Amino acid sequence: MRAVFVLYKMRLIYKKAESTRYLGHLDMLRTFIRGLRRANVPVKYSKGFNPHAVLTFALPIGVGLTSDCEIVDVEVMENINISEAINNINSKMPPNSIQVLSGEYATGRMPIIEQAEYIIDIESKSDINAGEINDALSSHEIMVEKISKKKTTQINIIDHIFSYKVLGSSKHSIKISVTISAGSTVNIKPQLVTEALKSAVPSLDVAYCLYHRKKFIFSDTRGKQ
Amino acid sequence: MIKITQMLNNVEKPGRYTGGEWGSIVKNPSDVDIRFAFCFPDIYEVGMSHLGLKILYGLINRRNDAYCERFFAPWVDAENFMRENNIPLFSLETHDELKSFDIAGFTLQYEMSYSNILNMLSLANIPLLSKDREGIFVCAGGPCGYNPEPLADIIDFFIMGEGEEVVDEILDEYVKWKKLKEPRVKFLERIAQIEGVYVPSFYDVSYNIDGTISGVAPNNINAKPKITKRIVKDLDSAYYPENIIVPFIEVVHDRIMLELFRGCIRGCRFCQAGNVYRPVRQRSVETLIELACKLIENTGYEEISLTSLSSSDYTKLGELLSSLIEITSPQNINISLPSLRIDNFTLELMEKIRAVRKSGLTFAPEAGSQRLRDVINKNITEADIADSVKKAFEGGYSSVKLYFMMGLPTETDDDILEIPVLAKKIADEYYKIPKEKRQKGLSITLSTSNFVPKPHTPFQWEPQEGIESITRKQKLLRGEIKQRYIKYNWHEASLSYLEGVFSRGDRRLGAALIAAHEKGCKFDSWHDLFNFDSWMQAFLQCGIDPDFYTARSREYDEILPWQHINAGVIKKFLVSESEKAKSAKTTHNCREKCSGCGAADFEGGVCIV
Repeated sequence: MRAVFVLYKMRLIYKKAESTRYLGHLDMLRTFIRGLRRANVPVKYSKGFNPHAVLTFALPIGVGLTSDCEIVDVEVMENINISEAINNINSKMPPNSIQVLSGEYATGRMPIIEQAEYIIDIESKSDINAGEINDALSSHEIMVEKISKKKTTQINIIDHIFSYKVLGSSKHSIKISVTISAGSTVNIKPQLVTEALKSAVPSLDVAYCLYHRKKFIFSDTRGKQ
Repeated sequence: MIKITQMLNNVEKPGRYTGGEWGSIVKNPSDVDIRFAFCFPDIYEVGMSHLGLKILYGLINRRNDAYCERFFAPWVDAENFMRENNIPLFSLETHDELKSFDIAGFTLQYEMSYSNILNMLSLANIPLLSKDREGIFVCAGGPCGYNPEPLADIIDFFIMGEGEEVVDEILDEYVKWKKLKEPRVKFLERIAQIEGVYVPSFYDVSYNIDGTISGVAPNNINAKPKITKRIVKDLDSAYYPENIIVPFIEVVHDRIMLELFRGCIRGCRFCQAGNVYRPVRQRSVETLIELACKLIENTGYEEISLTSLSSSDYTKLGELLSSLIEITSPQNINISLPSLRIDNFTLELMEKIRAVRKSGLTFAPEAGSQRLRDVINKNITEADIADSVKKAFEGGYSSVKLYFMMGLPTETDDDILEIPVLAKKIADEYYKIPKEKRQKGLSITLSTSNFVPKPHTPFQWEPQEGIESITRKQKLLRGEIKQRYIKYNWHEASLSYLEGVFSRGDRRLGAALIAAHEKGCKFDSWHDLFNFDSWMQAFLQCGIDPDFYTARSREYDEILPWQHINAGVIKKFLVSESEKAKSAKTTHNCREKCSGCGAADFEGGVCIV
């Protein structure tokens, strides 16, 4: 008898909520796997000396961010009912942490991410001048240092901001939405937008920022969400 | 709250301070009578690895009238931010400040965490001295609590022994006291009558001209002349958490801990745990398997660790492992089995563990020579060691770690020089195996810690070896290690010296603790933050000679600072063991023959069977 190789790959869209805001990618991965295990999802494990659950994330999300639009592929051993699985998973995650919003069996590869929309909440120690911030975002050039593991480069962040909007502001805080380059080709972290604003608007004295990933925009050449 | 958010966005590891993990308890604080603060005087990653926290957290939160929340020592970056922005120490569950709680309970796992207790109280704006305190009660328990005296001025009451026995009784009294709106001292008087509770302010200590203690006398009618520890008699029926917190961030021991038994049959003379946790009480295989299943299901953990002081002394280890592997292996769960003894390590057992665990082997001969191993009653022979490593190497292991102590009573340079000889013999066993049959890459790691005499052990009267002498012995050993496959690690002698001061200290040390805290001492067990000079200045400032506590040999009839605490082992036994040590005579283990240590009075142990 020959075993027939069937791949069951669940593509889940999930929220990273407030309780998990300060977790890095590896902590999120661990939290996700343990939740799947508690929910009795028959996750496929890799072979070898150190078997690990086979999970693929669309774009790792870092410390300090929440999200409404994370994507993960989970390989499972059998064809389980997805909506039941989602209910189980959500009941086995800590409150206000990871919440699966939807899911389907996927055949293709992950969709290619080109841009992502973020909401940035800036808390400032100084008075906020929304006009100045708006002016900075509509300028032609703000050079910032983009630091990656391999190298540090100077980039004009404006080239990577596709749209922006001031959603609201008060004396010491401002909420803006930006759509910026994301994915494997060029990935701009929303923190870099804050850095750019800090250099372009000297009166801005940031106390802290909260970042939220709102949605992904995919390349239309291949795959879809 | 905004300040805390700001802090979280400005520290290195914010995940330490957020709470909200799977298994953490959510209650409405206004629905309870008692808000209990479990305080661990070290960072989150260390505290969340502690079994006692998991047990007491679950135990207290079972009560409808109580809410137990967690507090840890914030790391330096967070502490600085908190002090600059007036953020008081807050809980992980509700982020409420410590000061607003009813009872704070600190766990005393190691002496070098005492400075962190003071630092946490100061971060909470709670007076450091018990006599200045209003509102919150500060209590403590854990192994170091068996000599509570160095903390006597700071802690309002201590719990002696196993907390799960006593905590409910104390909380019941608290509720009564609170409802009657009695004065503060009345609560302490109520609980002083509970077996196992020690209220240090209810005792006066007097001293001789030479600085030794002349007497300890109760000054309150409710205080017992002798405080006897409490233990759980039957572990099978005792509370054990079936649902534990699963941290978001990686902690030191990030796994399920399954406690096989308490106590130890071995009676190593240096070991405080082996003495104060007597008598040996074991959980049944059935209970352990049931707990394992529930914990696996509830946590989603991928590793389970079998814990005890000496796991190969669990009488049904083979049976337990067979049943456990059946459950764990289909679920991709690893089993780890630390604290295995070298002498009864069987090939069969090793094969079983190897099915699930791939790391190296760890042995603790503790002393290099047979004579010295007899002195400390570590009943292992060189032949045992050679035999075990031979089997291990044949079984495919190539990496061995060996733990030793330095500064043991009667130790000479010859004993130290036996350590590399032993390592060489282990290497010989490896090279005896044909090349094609052995695993490549022999690695032997030797580690030496420094012997610190502990209260309630046969060595409690012994002098502790000084810093210079220990450092010289470390150099001596280092010089003898020439082979590339042998690595040598050692502990800092100055830290062990300080540990020794507090280990056998008295209540006069409270002033030095406060002085050291004021000089910024904290996280002493963290190498980078340990400031020996500040400690020495603190002692000097308080007119305390730390050598008085370490370097001195004590007479058997000296009144020791912890003499009014009954940890289970009687003085007669300790003296007899101390004498046997001097002539390098060994003592039977508890299963071979009862040595009359006194723990049998507590019942429920191996001694009764």
